[in-house]
Amino acid sequence: MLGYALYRILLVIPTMIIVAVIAFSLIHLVPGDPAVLIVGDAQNTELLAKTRADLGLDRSPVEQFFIWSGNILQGDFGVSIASGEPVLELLWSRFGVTAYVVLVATLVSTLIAVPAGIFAAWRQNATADVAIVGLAILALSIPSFWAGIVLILVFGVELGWLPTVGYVPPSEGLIKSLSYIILPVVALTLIQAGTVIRMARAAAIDELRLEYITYARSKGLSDFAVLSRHLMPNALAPVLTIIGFILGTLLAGAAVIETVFTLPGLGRLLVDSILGRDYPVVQGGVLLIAVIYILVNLAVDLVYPLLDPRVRLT
Amino acid sequence: MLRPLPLLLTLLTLFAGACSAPVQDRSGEEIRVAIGSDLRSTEPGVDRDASTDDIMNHVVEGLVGYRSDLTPGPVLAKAIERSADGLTYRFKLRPDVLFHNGEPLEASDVVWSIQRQLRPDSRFLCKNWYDGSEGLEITGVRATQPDEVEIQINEPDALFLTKLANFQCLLGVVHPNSAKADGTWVSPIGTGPYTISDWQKGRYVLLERFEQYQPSDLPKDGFAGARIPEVERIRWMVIPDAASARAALYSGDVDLIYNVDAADLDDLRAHDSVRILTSPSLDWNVLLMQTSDPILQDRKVRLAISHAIDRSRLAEAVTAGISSENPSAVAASSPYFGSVQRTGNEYDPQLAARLLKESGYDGQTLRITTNRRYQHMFDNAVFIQAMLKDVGFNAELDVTEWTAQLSRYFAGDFQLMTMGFSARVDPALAYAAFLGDKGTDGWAQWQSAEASELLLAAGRSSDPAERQKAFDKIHRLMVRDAPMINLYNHYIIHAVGPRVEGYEAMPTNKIALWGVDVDEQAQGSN
Repeated sequence: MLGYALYRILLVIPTMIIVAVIAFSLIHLVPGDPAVLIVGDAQNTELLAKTRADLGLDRSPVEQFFIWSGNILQGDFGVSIASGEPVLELLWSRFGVTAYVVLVATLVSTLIAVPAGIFAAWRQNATADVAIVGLAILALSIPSFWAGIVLILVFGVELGWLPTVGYVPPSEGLIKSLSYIILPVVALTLIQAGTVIRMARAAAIDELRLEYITYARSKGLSDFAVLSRHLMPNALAPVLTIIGFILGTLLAGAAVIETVFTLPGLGRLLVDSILGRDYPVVQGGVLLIAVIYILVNLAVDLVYPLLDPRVRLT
Repeated sequence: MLRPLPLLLTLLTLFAGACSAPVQDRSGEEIRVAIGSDLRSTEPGVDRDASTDDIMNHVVEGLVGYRSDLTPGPVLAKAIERSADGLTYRFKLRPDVLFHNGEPLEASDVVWSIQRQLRPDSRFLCKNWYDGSEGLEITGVRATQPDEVEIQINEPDALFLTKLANFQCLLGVVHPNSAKADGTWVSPIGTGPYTISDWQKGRYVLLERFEQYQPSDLPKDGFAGARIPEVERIRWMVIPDAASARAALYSGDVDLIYNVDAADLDDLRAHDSVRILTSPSLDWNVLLMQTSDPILQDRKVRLAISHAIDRSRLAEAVTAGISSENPSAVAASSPYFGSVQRTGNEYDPQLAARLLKESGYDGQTLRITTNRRYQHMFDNAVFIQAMLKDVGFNAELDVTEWTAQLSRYFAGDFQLMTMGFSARVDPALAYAAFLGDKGTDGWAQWQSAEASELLLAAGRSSDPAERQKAFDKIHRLMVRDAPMINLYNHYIIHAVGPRVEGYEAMPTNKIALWGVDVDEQAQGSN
């Protein structure tokens, strides 16, 4: 397994080179440059040229790429054009917010969705199954921004139970911090739970048809024992893949949820940076997202054999 | 093996605890203002946007600022003296003014601040206003006394004080410790009624009252006069989503939202506790026409477009009746807005169709570039497209992203474009925003030697009658040439929560929270 992990980690290098080229090319292909936003409607051609030169935008794209990638190799991701902050510091601080909210949401959704999916499979075609599947489809169908706004209006405006906007990091008080992330967590849980319930149900139905379940039942084990000790571990392996995929996607930025709930996360930063043509942040952010995807997928792959002994990593 | 039940119970307990915690810490006197984007930088006039201006105007002050009637009035200056030849200005400084680090303001600090912004390598956005490239040049700044500054300029300029008072390009006075020895900016040590006490990027900027602030003896008057910091703290909360900002206002999590879209007025009106302030602003909306385009270089085509657009209906629809049509670049609230400025190319579809026929227009596509970031620009484009089609134009929308549109504006790369200009308090500054040399400046919309001469004269003269005459002539030339179409002045919609007392919207659409207080007993209701 160690050899496999090392092999996968080494694969990061060519992947990152390709990602770097794509990230740089794509953002530079988008028309518009950040200098016009800085100069704004101060109609000053000379200042526009000076600003472009200060930002290095007067050089050829190839030259800009080699300067940027050379700096990256030295650990210098540059500074944000919009805020002047070092990119790495900025990305890391914003990633922390996203990771906090997304990990809590993933934990909650997994704790709800996996048992719900397995229970639905256990009661296949019964009322409970139809209800759970119906709720899962509903959760999948609701656009996240709409769910976010409705949650804000109900729990923030009408009931006044929770803050409507803002973010408080756990370092400023866990309870206070949690009160600020409940609504975004619920909105994200809705997004994830629908998918995970359906996946868990499908995986459990496949397992339920296998002989070892029949054997476990014939031994006289209780329903709970069959479900928790035999069915769940086996059904969990394929579900883990989908959870890993969702986690990777959300860690890369839950931009819509972050915007609606004004969370200063990675997704919002990247959207703002793309709109503001903040090249160093966008390029650095895309590299970071690539690393997140690679690491999450690697983690899922490494956990897989623990859940399913038939899987061998070589 | 996972044991989900205990974990779930623990989590639910934590959530329940969180729910019972106070929703917001509203202790102390604090006003919360929603801003659409974070502070760009703390260096005034260098890296800015509207939110940045609003925040920094509470921290850093200049010698002068705009009064409510948009004339320049004293801020750090106590008295202003202009020499008979109009080339020397003497500013007597207000006594007892302290910087945020406790040091007293001296004339040498003003000299240092101005010289720093105007040095050759400065990135001050409006350096061209003072370096001679547009005529006016500051030829000398010196401290004549510890509390007196003298500024010399190369030629009489009626707009000198108006430019000094500009909030977008504030020549702010800061303590020399605000920058390193090499000129690199550190942080603002200003003289304003508030100091920046905390900036959590992407979350909020917190200003705290400067307890040693000595306000002017003059009454509060726009940006001039007394700036009394009544409320202890101002928290500028970054809320990019408009619907979230409104929800936060209704719940009492914020006290003030501004730059509200007219389409959201009905939603605001449904909440009795919200006070809505509306008025026309100095910003103005236009349809740009690229006069070097093969089709649009024909004046008849441009005139046909002018006569095809019903500005009155357009303004009524897009601004929810807050603003009305303005065929001129002179703001409707300006003292220079008179009978001449009210007249333009009237809406006359028959005449438009006739002019179009005469021009030999053959159904070629005209693309109207616009964006979805600024809803009013998009709405303008949609209405204009329909009106142009009515008279026989083949007009199409070219919806692009804002930054891309702005780049195309600077490059002159468009046929028709809906655009908005931010507030210019004097007509001369408004005309300077689009009058220029199209050969060198892509942003220049109108190249007219005659108009440029008149504009220069209006800038030099201090006689209102003479200036009015010049502006009237420029307007008539503009109506004749039709290089672009002025549509209407934009609108101001501010929504204020029940706790806020004494807040007024300014015609410049800027936020001034000095003199504003909060009533801690007032509760929001939905």
